Amino acid sequence: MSEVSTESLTGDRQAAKEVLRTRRRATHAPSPLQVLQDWYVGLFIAATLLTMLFAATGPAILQPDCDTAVCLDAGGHDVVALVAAALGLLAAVVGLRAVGPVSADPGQASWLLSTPADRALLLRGQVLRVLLVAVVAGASWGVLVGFAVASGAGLSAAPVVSVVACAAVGLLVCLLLTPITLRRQGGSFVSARAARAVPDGELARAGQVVQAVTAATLMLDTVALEVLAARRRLARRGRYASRPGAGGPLPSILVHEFHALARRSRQLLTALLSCVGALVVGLLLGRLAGAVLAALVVFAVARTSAGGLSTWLTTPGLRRALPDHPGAVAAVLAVPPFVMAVVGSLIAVGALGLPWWAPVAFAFAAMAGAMRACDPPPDLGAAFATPGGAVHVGLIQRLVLGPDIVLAGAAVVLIGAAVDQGPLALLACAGLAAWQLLRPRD
Amino acid sequence: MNILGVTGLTKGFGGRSVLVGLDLEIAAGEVVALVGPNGVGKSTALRCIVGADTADEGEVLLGDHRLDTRQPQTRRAVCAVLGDLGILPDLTVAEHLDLLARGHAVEDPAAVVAGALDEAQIDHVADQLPGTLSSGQAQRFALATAMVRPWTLLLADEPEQRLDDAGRAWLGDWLAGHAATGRAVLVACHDPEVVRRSGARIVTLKGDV
Repeated sequence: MSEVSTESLTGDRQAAKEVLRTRRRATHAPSPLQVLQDWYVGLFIAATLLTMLFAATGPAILQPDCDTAVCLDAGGHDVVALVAAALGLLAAVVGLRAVGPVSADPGQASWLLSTPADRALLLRGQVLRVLLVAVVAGASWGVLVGFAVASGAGLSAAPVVSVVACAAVGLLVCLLLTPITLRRQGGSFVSARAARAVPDGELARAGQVVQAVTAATLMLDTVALEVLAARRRLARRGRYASRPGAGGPLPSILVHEFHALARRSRQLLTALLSCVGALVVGLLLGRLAGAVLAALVVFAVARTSAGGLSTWLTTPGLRRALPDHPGAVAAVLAVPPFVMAVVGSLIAVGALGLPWWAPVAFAFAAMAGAMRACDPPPDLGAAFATPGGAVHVGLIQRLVLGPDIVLAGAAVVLIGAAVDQGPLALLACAGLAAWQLLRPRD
Repeated sequence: MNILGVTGLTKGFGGRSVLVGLDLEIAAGEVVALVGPNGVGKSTALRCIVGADTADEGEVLLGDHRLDTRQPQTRRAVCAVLGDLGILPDLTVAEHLDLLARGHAVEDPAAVVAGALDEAQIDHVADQLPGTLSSGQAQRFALATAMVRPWTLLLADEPEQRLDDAGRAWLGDWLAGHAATGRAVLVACHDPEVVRRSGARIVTLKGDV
């Protein structure tokens, strides 16, 4: 971004202060006590969740009880630590830029267009919130990396130094990256100057991302995030050389769907990389954790590659437009995602020491979950208060629609492997997929 | 010969009756235009006829049989442009049309698709993903889906929406042209020019709006 003179961009500070005062006095604004309570509850929940995460992962990484086909040695732990640190840095750079750090929600962004109030004051809170979330996430990731570093360096008995050091590095990286990102966004390392110089379109864009991420993490509502991702994909590329189908109705659908799959290569690659992540977790934490995570990432692979199938199952208008039996069309559209799910399963559970049929069973379960996730979402239902706002029971139900059947499939696979009943487990998972494929949806 | 027969079609939402006892017959070679103010039940009537909404009462016959889109022969005969045609992600406009044409086993799908793109005047966006189309282009694309497949009865909900003047004039002629080949068309429409050019018989819905 070119250098911007921020002198002329300084707005009416008195007006901005008045706005902030008015906002605090507004009848719908929370009282200071309520704000304090919300912050306390939020921090308490975050600290509890992080403590549980560290308590579960730390000992498993430091004293691995290897029950997988391949076990990590000290060098392996070093590689894991290095890759995790690199991924964390990448996520911090990309994430901070995506959310601003200066942003305004759509309502505020519209209002800012018509007020002379100084934006530095009005947008300061948002920058501080982003910074806080970034340092907490950075330090937490640093703790996990620290466990791997300690294990790789043979310091499993006394990991405190490496854990604290890595957490501090994570925190510092985020503290450094925030002003650098501010410079990229608003032309200045200083929050106030950057906030004044950020173009209105950029403010609104970052605000949309913040809203979507907030809804997905605190409210468990991923719709806005999916809409943003789809819009971004179309903006990146919305034109391809058209290729004709081949053969009769069903073969032509299959040919078209494979063409479509090739155009989703970027998302597929990301999803397959997450399978590698699941494998690493499995090698670090054992077969059970690895299998559960593998089931979920293979489900993600299936959903990513099941664009045509999802549209078919969710759109009565499309099902009315073709004379073939809906189940037959769905079966054809399920072939490409099933192939990709098998590939993802082989990556995610290949080295966990599970039987040969397990990847196929995971793929069947993932397909069943992907099809169940196409069911109409439940109503919002009752809501309960959280520090992030009201969370509806229906939203939680939406979140587990699909993963529930996937985890059931994972349980079947693990039990089948434990009691040496592979064919039965494979049949059960295939049955789940067939049930989802053939059940009527109109 | 009647292609569509509707008897006593009734539908309400939240205790409010939207459609009350709609009776309608459409013969082969006929265009029928449902007209009336917003909220009178034109779209609801079309959705109930095709089964996208469940009517509270009434019967819908396609020829001599109950219209049921679960039957393959019904899906072959009825083409509904109701704005709910799903878009398969990552398939271009031309590929969507190709898929529909091949799905109905039409002969020479490439030529049929090229003809539809030309007639709907969207050949310049044939390689675009439908999500990138303007609203007017998307409407032409929706109409093009009816050009690449065989049908006996066309149901269209406000097909003139978002079309420019030339597009609306073309639409009226296009509907009339299909009727002339012995097909039947039922269209909910607000545009008098489209209705006039299509030679439609007008059925005015009067509801509690």
